[in-house]
Parts: sequence; structure tokens; C-alpha cells
Amino acid sequence: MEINLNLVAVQIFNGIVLGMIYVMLAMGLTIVWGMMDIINFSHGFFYTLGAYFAYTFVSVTGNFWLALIVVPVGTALIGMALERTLLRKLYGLNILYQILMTFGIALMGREIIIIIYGPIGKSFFPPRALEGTFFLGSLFFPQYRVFLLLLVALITFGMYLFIEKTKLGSIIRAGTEDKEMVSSLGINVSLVFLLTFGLAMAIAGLSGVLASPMRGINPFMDWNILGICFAVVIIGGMGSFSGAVFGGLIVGVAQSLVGLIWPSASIIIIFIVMSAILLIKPRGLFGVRD
Amino acid sequence: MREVLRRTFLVMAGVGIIGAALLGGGVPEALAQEEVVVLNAAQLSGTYAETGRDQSRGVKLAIEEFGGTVFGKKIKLIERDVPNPSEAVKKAKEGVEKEGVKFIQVGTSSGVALALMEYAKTQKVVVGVLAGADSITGDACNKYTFRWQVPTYGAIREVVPRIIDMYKANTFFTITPEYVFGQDLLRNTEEVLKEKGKRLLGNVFHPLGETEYSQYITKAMAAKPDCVLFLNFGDDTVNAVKQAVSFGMKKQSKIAIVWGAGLTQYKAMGTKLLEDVIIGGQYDHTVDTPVNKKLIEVYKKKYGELIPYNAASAYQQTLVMLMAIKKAGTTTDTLKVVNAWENMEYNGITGKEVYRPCDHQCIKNYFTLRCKKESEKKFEEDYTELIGASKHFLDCAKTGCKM
Amino acid sequence: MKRLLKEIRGLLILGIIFFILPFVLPYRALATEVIIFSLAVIAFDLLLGFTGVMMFCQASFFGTSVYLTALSIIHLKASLFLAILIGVAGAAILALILGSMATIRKGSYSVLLTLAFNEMIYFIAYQWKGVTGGDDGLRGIARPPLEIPGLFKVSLASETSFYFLVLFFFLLSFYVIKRIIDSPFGRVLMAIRENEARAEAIGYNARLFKLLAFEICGIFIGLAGALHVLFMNFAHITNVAFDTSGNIVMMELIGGIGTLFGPILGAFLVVLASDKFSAMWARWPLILGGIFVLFVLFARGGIWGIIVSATKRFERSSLSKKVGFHIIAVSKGESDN
Repeated sequence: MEINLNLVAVQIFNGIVLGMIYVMLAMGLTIVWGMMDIINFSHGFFYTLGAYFAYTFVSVTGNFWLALIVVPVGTALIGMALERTLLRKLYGLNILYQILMTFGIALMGREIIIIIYGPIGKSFFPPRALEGTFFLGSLFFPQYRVFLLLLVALITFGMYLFIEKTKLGSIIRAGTEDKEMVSSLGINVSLVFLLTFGLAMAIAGLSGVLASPMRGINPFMDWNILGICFAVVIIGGMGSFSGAVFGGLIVGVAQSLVGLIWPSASIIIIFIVMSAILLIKPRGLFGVRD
Repeated sequence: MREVLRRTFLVMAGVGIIGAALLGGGVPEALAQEEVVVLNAAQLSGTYAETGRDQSRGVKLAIEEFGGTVFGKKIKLIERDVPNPSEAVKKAKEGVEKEGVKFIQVGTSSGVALALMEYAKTQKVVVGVLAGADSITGDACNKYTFRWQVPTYGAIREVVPRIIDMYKANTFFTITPEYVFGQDLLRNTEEVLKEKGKRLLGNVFHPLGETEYSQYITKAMAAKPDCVLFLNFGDDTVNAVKQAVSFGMKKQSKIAIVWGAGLTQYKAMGTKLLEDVIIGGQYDHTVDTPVNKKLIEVYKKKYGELIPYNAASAYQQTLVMLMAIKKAGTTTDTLKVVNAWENMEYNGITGKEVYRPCDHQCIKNYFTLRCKKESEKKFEEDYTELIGASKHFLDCAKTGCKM
Repeated sequence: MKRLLKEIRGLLILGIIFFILPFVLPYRALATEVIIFSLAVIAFDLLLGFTGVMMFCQASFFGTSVYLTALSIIHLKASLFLAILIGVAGAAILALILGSMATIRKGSYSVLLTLAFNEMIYFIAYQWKGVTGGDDGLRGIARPPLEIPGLFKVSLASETSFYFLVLFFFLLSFYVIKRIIDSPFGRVLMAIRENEARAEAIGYNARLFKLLAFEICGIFIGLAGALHVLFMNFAHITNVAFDTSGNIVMMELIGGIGTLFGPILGAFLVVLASDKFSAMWARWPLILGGIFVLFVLFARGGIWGIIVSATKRFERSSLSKKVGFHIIAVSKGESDN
């Protein structure tokens, strides 16, 4: 199989697009992890939930654009409800219980999705406006993927502004670096936790909406993506925003390029890198603390 | 410490035993002589679950249509979810030990089927398999197992020559799942292309359950083949084809799917995507036999929809199994049933069908379909037009089956 | 003699319960499943419950042993004990490798490492189709008879006879694990669970002890795997998949972390209930997940914790208070790692 430059170029593009999804998921995962010390095994579930909500919404209203706004709100609300009722009770305990709880939530969530939607995978199509392909000489780029790249870049920039410029954002930033300081400053930590979790689940849901016209929807998609999300956050550095962004892009591009040579290994390579980082430099590339 | 442990342990023991007894239902039930027990081992949960429900319906319908009894004995159907091979063997053991099961229908993952077949042989239980892997009537065959689906040899030899004709294609590219089954499809494709003097420009393997097909599509399109053959199945095909079309593949090559999964798959892809795509399949509504027409009618009446492929295949094989029991004149001597099943020709949904004795493979047609344009559709589910059917099977000696 | 009897009282009671189990349950194979997973889960309890180390590698040990035992029978026509030994040895070597890496880190990093390792083992098993059969699995695994050449030969083809072989291994393993826990070594493990930094300060090499616990856990989970493949006569990749690890974790929590008897109850509940209810409702895992979540919220000491605190009221000795504290401490999740 000849690997020519064109092939590599298209794959890098695909890798960046894939990476954008990972960036979004990693942002949510890392702020929850950094701020709340929760390793959220249900993060993939909210991604799946977003995808299914989008499917329903688009089936009913036919409006994909609106889904981009409505669905994240939905997943945020559900996330906050779960945080308040289930996760709250476990703060201060051994992290084991948070792992187990989020794991249990993911398990139940998957079954509920199967009950409502059936076990068959679903699919829906990108909006008509984005169905085509851009041809650049002998290179081809699906319009939808270009749109995704631009939109997520915008969202990432928005998140950056939020983290750097807003009050809640700076609390989150401080909290990921030093939780005790934050609580001793008299800030309503439980409210911040609630909002942080909600925000993270909103982004997770949104990534589900964006990914599904590309990749299809099935009840088991959470597990496939979860491992990669963990890897991205570890590689980029837990609690670090730039880590999420660079980690996501690096993993996406690496996965696509390895896919050219040995497709089956493209995901396991990510796990190997994650393990190496955990063993050698757990703080990752941009991590703020061990 | 020990006092507490002892006491609580005795409590636990008591609770445990009573609980187990209650949960378990006590002493194993005596085998009912007034019943013939059939086990439907279907995948009701897990990644293949779409087929499980349809398979259930097919089996139930067959029992109903058969009359519900044989030799005055009621046919009792028990259903168990077999999401993976360990569960399959476990449930088979339960069926045989507890319920007196002597007849099983199992689908659709080959790993599940292979595990269950192996166990069933030791218990002399007749198994109808609803899966496509070659080894089921190849090196893993056994005397008590029968299989309806046409394996890869026949599927490729029906579909690929038709594709060559219809598309006037000389060069091909294949996208194959990295799985024994995928490799069987590929090997057969390579053989047929060589025979016909056509070129396979390249192949890419992808992991089962892959969601991201961009790298495979990129390679396929870079080779600029006349036709891209999708050798994957189920959801993988849906994702692969959708993504391929979004990358503009149809603008430069034809597309064909050799192992179609029927209506549910077509619905997921949609008419626009599938326009003029050629699909191979074990079954389709357009197959014009009286048996099939009747089945479609009966199914529609009972379930209110057009019969999906997995229901049709389950229906057909269950019916044949019951016919074999009737022909054998016994519900307990399974060897007699096996002998009756062999060589029993009948009018099936795909035309004349018969299970041959050397490997217990059903000799039946495989079909090639062309997907209609939106304008050609006469009703919502009218996705396909039948353009070919034929029977191709390996010589007995070449299958690797030793019974 | 009296003391010996007292020591093995727990063992005797377990023995009696498991002895009559196959005759009480609806089918023998179910009892075999219960006991095999009881074995796996008490091994895990040693690691999580008594040493405080969480991991997701259960499937790696279980599955590796499954494959090695299977291959030794298929290719080497190994005898019963040899086949089991090969499986266990494989799991032991793997536990050494994975454990030495996983114990480099603590807490969530260690857990994630074990998750990654399990995925890697799964990947190897999937790719190495020629050896493992990939998604189709390995067939034709005959169950060797139980024999001592020259003395006797017993066929294990029947479910019942195989069950009693497994029972023998289970009781033996339980006894060994219990002795380990009650020994000074066991006390060091518990000290590490309570406060690793303090244990280190006293002078114990915490990492070494954790590795040893990892190793013992791997060996007994490997034994469970070897027995499982002999039970199924079939080796499949689902044995290495994450779900197998997840199930063992659920049995452990629902049973009662760190109570040794509790997880056995957990195995009972999960296996029996799954068997009964999955036939009624394909979505039974929803209920299991719900039970699991409820236990994480309200009963972190598991079923055993519930039973003990219920009967605790009837005991007034100071010894019971000690055990009560231990259970309460575990159920409040106050161990810190």
C-alpha cells in the first residue's frame, strides 16, 4: 500500500477533526477531575446520551442547528441532577466509591438507552447544507467535517475565554490547582461543583451531537470513547485546559496516522502511550499537579 | 470475633440456602413427557441484539404455523439470551439439564454458535444454526448441527460476477473486517476476481465495530477503483458506507455490499445513499416464491411490519426442524431426527431447499439486489429489486468437514 | 484438636453449604459457575479489601489462564493438574509483570494503569487469532480425567463430578487465603490499607507488599480461570474483556469489601440472580446496576456489612465491637488510598 503525501495530508485533516471531538470530551473530563477529584466513568455515557437526544430531536423537528443548543442543555440538567442526588453523597470518601458510582451510572444509563431506543444502532444524517464534499485537487474533505472543525475551534476558544476571563472560570482554574484554598476563600463550593459538573456534561453531550452524523450511534459507544478520553487527559495533563486541547489533537492525529499503517493498533497505541506517561511522568505534558 | 462470625455465618447460611432454593426452584423438574422442548438461543442484549428479537419472532411464528404440537405433544419454547459464548454454553446446560431441551435454534454470532454446537453434540441435542461462518459446516461441523445461511463461497460467487457485469467493472478495492469471516469473504473474492481476469487493486482491514472509517476510505479512493466492495456487515457496513459517501466516494467509484443484513440496514442508510448500490443477501421480500409471499403476509398480520431477514431465516429453519421431527416419527431419538433432516427437500422461502448430508449445509439460493432510486419505489420499504439468484457450494470434500 | 476445629469452623460451614448447593439449585452447571466466581472474588478481596488496592485486571488473569489451560490441553494433551498448573503459572507471571508496573503509582493513576493493561491484553488476545481463536474462540477442549497414574482414574465428564473437583480447589484456596490474611503478612497488608504512609514510616516496603498481594490475587483468579475453561470446554475472548473484571468488582462491592465471606455472598447473588432474571428480562443488568448503585450509596459494607450490623445488636462482647468498628470503617469508606 503506497502511502503518498496526499493520503497523509487527508489523514492529518481527519485526525484533527477526530481530535476536536476528543478535545471537547477531554475539557469536560479534566475540569471534573481537576476540580472535583472525580474520575468520571460515566463521561462516555453523557456523550452517548447527547447523541441519542440529538437523534430524537432531529427526528422530531428536523432541525440539527437547534439540537446543538437544546441537547447540551438537556445533558447538563441530567448531569446536575445526578451530581446532586448520587455523587454529592460520596465526596470526601475514598475515590474508589466515585469510580464505582460513575461506573454504575454508566451501566444503568446504557440499559435505559436500550430500553428506550432498542439495541440497534441508529443513524441520522448531517443537515442538508453540509452533506457535500470539498474537493481540493485530488484531496477530498467532507463538508460536515470541515464544519465540525471550525465549530469546535470556536467552542474551544469560547471555553478558553470562559476559563480565563469569567469568575466561575477562574474559580475552576484555581480549584484544579488547589482545592483547599478555594474553599477557604468562602466560595460556595457545592454550587461550583454543581455548575462545573453541569458544564462538563453539556460539553460531553454536545460532542455526542457533533460526532453522531459522522460516526453513527449505538448504546455501546460510551465504552469505546471513554478509554481514549482518559488517555487524552492523562497525556495532556490532568486538570489542564491546554493539556486537554493539545492532548486531544495529538491523540486524534496519532490515531489517524497509525491507522494508515496498522488500523487495528491505532487505539491500543494510545493506551500504550497513556501507560508510559503514567509510569514516567504522571503529570502529563501540561499537568499542574501530581 | 469468631462468635460473631459463627453466628452471622449460620444466619447467612440459612438465608443463603433458603434463598437459593427459592430462587432456584428446588429439585430439578422432572422432564415432561407431554412436551417437546425447543430452546431459542438468541442475542437479546449486547451488540447483536437487533437480530435477537427478530429471531424470536421467526421461531415463534414457525411453531405457530406448524400447529403448535407434534404427535399430540405440545411444543414448548424456551428462550434464553446468549450475548456471549460462555452464556450460551451455560444456558444450553440449563436447558438440557433442567428443561429437557433436545432441539435448539441459535443465532447469530458465530462464536456463540460454535461454542453451543460443541456442547450440544456431547448431549446429542439437535441444533439449527443461524450464522454465516464457514467453519460451522466446515472444520467445526458435527452430526447434530444444521445451518441455513449460505457461507462465503456461495455468497461471493453469486454477487461478484453480477457486479462485474452490471457495473462493467475491471478494478476493485475491498474493505474488510479483521475477523475470520471477513477473511473468508476476501479470499473468495480474490479467487473469483482472478477467475474472471479482474484486478483487486488493494484491500484494507478494519477492526470489528470500527466507527472511524476515514483512513480506509482515503486509501480506497486513492486507488481509484471501478468498484469498492464492502465485505463487512451489520452496523459496520452502515457506518462505512455513510462515511464513504460523505467523502464523495460515489462520485468516482461504484459501491457494492456483499453481505447485506436486510431491511433494518437499508433503513439506516436510506434510499438516497443506496441509490443503484448492489447488495448481496440471504433473503429478500422480492424473492418470488409462494412460500415467501405467504410468510410476508402472515408476518405482517401478526407484527404489523415487513418481515426482516433474521425473522425469515429463523422461521424457515425452525419450520424445517419441526418437519424433520415429524418425518422421523420421534421427539426423543435425535439421531433419527438428524437422519430425517438430511436430504429432506422442501419448498422454502428462497425456492427449493435441502440440507445436504455431508456437512448439513442448506443448499439454497443467494441473492443479488439493486437498490432503487427514490422515484422507483412503490412503497416506503420498497428498497430493492432482485437481479440475480444462484446456488454455489464447495464440493463436500473441500469443506474440511468430517462428520 | 478443639482449636483446630475452631480455626476451620468457617471453612467447614462453607464446605457444607457448597456441598449441598448443586442439589439445591435448578441445574448443576449453575453451582459450578457460582463457586468458580466465588474463588475469583475472594482473591480480589485480598487485594482490594485487605490491601486497599483497586484494579481492573481481573479479566487479564482470568482470561490468560483460560487460554493457557486450553492450549495445553489442545496441543500438549496435558493432564488435569498440569493443565491447571500451566494456566495458573501464566496468570502468576502476568500478575508479576502488571503488578510491578501498577504498584509504581497509587490511587487513581494505578487504577487507570490497570485499565490500560487490561485493554492491551484484550488487544493481544484479539490480534493473535492464530493462538487464541480471536472472536471465534478455541474449541475441542476435552476435560482430562482426574487420575494418579497407577492408582486411579475418575472421569470428570459429568457436571456433578467436575463440580466436586472445583469445590476441592475452592476450599483449599479459601483456607490458604484465610491463613494469609490471619498471618503477620496479612496484618501488614491491612496496615497498608489503613495508612500507607504510616506503614512505610514504620519501615515496611509498601510497594513490595502490594506487589505480593497483587501476585496472590493473580494466582487465585488464574485458578478460577483454569477451572472455568474446563467447565465450559470452550475458551473465548470475553474472558479477557473488561466485563469480566466489572462483574467481579460488582460481586465484591455488593458482597462486602474486606470481609472475605461477604464477596462469596456477592458472587452468589450476582450469578444466581442474573441467571434467574436475565431469562425474564433482557434488560436485567439495569436492575443489577441499580442494586450496585444503591449499595455504593447506602451500604458500602455490602450484604455482609448489613448482616453483621444487624446481628451485632445481639452481641455484647468487646470482640464484636472490634469487628463492628472494622466493618463500619470500611462501609464509611474511611480507608485512605
